[in-house]
Amino acid sequence: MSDRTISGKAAIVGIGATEFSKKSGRSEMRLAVEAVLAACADAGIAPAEVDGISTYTMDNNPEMEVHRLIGGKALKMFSRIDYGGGAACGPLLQAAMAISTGICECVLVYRAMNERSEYRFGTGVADRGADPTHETAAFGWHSPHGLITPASWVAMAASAYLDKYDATTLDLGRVSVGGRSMAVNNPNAWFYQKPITLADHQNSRWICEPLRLLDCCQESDGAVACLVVSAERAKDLRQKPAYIRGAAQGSCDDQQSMTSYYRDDVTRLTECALVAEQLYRQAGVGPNDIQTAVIYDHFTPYVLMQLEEYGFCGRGEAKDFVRGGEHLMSGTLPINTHGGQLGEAYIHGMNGVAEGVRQIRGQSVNQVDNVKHVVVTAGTGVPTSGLLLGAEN
Amino acid sequence: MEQALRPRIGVNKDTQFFWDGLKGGKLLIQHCKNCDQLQHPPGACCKHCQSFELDALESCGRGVIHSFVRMHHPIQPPFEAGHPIILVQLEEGTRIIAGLINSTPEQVRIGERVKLTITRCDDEVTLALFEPA
Repeated sequence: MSDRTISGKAAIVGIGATEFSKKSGRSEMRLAVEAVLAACADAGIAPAEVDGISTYTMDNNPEMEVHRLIGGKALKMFSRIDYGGGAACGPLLQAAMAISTGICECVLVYRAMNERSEYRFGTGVADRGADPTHETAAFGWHSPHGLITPASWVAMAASAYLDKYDATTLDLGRVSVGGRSMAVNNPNAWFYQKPITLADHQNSRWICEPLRLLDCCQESDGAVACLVVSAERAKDLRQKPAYIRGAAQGSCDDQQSMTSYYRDDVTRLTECALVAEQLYRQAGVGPNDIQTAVIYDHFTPYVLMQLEEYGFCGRGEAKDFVRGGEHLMSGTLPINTHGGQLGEAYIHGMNGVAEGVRQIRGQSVNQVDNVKHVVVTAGTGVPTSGLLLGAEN
Repeated sequence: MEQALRPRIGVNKDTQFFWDGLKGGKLLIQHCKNCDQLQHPPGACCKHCQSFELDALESCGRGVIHSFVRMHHPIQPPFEAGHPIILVQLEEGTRIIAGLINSTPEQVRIGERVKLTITRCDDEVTLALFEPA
């Protein structure tokens, strides 16, 4: 393997979070700082040591203000990755690159939003400006026809996928039921002790056919933060290190933001395949070496498609995977053991990164046995990212 | 009561021809004069050969439903709950998102044939809608 790799050079050594709610009652900045301080305490690192920050777009908290408030003195790298939830693992790539190249010693990653109480994240884009930007022009291909929400953009791809592979909305329901079954055991989950059945899923109201309410993640208030340092330093800190064995971003053929309807195969998430290939190559492992995964579940159809793109099952076989319950605690690859964004909270994927770390440490409420490697994915349908964490280097 | 308007189209220098075409009664597809390929959505250059020598050809208006949804929530006028939106595979090979009108539920299926019906929605917005063929 080339010396030019980030694999194993850095580790996540601290995670912190606020409570997850529908109304935090506090500013987004306060949520950010609370999560950051919790992550620092978890690692046993003084907040002022933070010398790098990476977050991703749609977060409203400037890096400089977070750094100022935690007593930072010298911020040497700050970056903000585009495409919202698709970037969820991108900041960890930034962190690993900054540390492996000697730019930074301690990189902070955070996400803090009042996306339920202060604005509604899933409302969509019916009202846009009349500016000539690419984004406005791109929305204009879809929104005048009423295709205006994230759920509707996913539904268009899902409809073709279900048709092509003879999957049904029951298979979507199996993803949803699975996530909620994990949240049952998670006191931090919004849907703690609130399981659902397939019938509940089928009886929930249409949002945009073929998607029902219970195919859609929540809108949540809350924050999550992670702290990344070098693998050498990680050995001497409070927690068992979660080594970053792989971190990658991907954007592919005819990529659009949530509306890649013009590529050869609408049922593919080629950007996820690109991320998966990089992760496995960096880490020197394959899908069979992964004991548990956090599969970004903003909408259930993309969980099925991701299972295929990450190689956990064959093309078109995700329906069989969930029919066999392989995604549940009793299955071959328990996924979203925190409850996912369907069950725990929608912190735009950063809560999934934290769960990946807990699985490596042995701290999950739904702990999988003998976890050596965890895959964490990010928002799909947009340029995306992924993470492969290892218990050992 | 004032007419409820659809969300606005997005116009810039790369897409102006498309919207002007609809106002003139034509569904235009961007065409590369260098490599003869088509692309939709249109772009600043040809995605196949990066040529800036672009023009447009008029679609025949025939296609099949490649995928579809029925939108239920949120719904604001002028849309009605459950209205179908389709991804049309045009005969020319490119795809386009469009509303499907004048259809029965049985006609909203993948593989069904549809035909273009250019519709003036208001002073600013003329759209390529489709109906069962």
